Amino acid sequence: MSGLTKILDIENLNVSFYSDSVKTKVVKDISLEVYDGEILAIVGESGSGKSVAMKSVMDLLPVYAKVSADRFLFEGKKFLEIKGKEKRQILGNDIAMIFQDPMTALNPVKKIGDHLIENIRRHNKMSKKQAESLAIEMLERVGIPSPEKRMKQYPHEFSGGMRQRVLIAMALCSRPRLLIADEPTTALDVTIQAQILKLLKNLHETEKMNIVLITHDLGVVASIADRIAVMYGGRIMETGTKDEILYNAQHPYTKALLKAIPGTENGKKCKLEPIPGSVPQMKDMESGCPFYSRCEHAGEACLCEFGATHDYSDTHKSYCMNDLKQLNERGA
Amino acid sequence: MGKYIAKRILNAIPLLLLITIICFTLISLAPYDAVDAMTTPKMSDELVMLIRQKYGYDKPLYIRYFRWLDGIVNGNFGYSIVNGTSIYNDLMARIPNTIRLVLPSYLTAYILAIILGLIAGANKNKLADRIIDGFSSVSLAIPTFWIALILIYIFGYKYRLLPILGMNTVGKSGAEDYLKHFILPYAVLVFAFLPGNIRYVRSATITQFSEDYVMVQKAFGASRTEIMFSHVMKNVLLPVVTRLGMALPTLITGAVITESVFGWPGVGPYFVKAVQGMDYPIIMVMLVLSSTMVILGNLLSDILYCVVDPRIRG
Repeated sequence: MSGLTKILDIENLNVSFYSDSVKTKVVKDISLEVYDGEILAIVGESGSGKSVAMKSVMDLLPVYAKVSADRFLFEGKKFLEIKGKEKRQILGNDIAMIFQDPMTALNPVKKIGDHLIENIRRHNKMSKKQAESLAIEMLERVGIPSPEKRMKQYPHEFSGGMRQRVLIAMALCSRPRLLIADEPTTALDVTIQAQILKLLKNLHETEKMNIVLITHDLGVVASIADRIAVMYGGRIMETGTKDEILYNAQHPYTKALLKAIPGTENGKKCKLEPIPGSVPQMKDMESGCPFYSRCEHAGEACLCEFGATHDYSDTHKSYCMNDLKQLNERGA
Repeated sequence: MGKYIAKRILNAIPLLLLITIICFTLISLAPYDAVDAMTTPKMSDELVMLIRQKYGYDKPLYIRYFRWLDGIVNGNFGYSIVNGTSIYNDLMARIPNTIRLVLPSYLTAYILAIILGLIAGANKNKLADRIIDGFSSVSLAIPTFWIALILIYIFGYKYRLLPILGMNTVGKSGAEDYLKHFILPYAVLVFAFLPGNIRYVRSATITQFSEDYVMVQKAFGASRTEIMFSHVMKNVLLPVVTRLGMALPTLITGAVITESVFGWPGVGPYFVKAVQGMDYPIIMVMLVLSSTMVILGNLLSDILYCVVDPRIRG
């Protein structure tokens, strides 16, 4: 993997929220890379900081959020230092984002066509006619039937899945190098979910678009991701290729998470094992491992310090204070 | 659409009837005998009785109501019991004067409010917002008659720049003279209509800026100006346009106090005088007129909504 170009290269990203002079660290020292030609999935429970981490890339965090990082490169550019107009030329052009709730993501009083044309003309010098035909082409590309007619319609005349397609088409117009998909299927029903995921996978292959997929659904991950980063409490717990994480998980949290998937074993229904407890408040876990309070192997060291790095392969890393090899051999 | 409007108008009729019944009952409950306006203490009881019979005040309430209703439906607004003039003629002379004053003031305030409200809402909690919102809070608390008196004191008394009473100087006419009389009540009314509208536009703008589609546009590289003019503004203007309909009753009864202070020959002083003199036919007509305006205004609002909002139009 190290031979490949890094599209996004983040080291020790920290995001803190300030309110009434209280500082809450929401994302702590996370390091992420997106290589050219892959789909990276960031998996985690609600409140694990996965959305916040990616919104910091897009400059979408509220004013009371503070972002810092040792290294934050997008295609070799120091991304945190780029501001204003220069940044806006990259957003929606080289890097695009689609969101969780397609129902509210479009301006209700603006026609679909105007959404697309506006976005195309923002980043490309193009006549209105050209932009219109490109928009129609893109709508067709994402699987919207009779796009000419649909261009003249308003968002409320589209279903949720269709709106998500429109947003994907919007993102696609400028052929971005990176698409950040923030839980793109969470608000959709299951059959539509599968269609949207298939579309994303398809676009990834044909348009050479790299994707960061934020999700809490391991089923989604299994179907399209190449690499997975598991996040919890603002930290990355384990990263690895899809197979390494799904079939050879090392970290206690990842293992607990995988056990909590409803499924069958040898055709028999097996019991679902939930992770006891609930996600702790961000303010209660300043240092130490965020999984401390729910982890069955937690020791005293876990309270004061976060994870020693365990390397299993070039791609597979996990962060835990325990001697995981010993633990896993014991069959825990 | 036509069907919808027809239905709404049909719905308005029983509502109007109900309003007239309530008004009529309430006025007749007032501890006052309408005949006193037309009699003097020296008149003999027989004469008072005759007058009472002539105007029908000896009849029970519901008969008086139906007689009155019959008149209104046939376009007969009745006569003032104080000076016997036709209410219809009085109003026809006065309503245009009021509209002449209120319409330009309201439109000025409306346009100013849209501009200021958008600026304030887009810069929430910044200096511009603090100034504009502060201004609307303060001016909302200041009564218009007070502003009117201050202006009269400054421009009419201290510097003697502008006339303080009426619509024209007696014996003079022409645009210049009219404008001189017009400017003070106009300013007061703009000031009166401004704060409520600013607040409305401001809060609508703030709500729109927190919508998801604004974030999405940011993610697609739209600048704040683009978001403001190409996205937020249209969404803000939808409810604001419909507010125009609600302003319809203002055209007639929106300036009662200001008109009275400046002696503007509009509906305001006429109504105030009628209330003081317990001239109840005038009061009734005014109540019916203004409630009709409120109902029509609401209807107009709803129709405007249908016209401008694609979600409802569809």
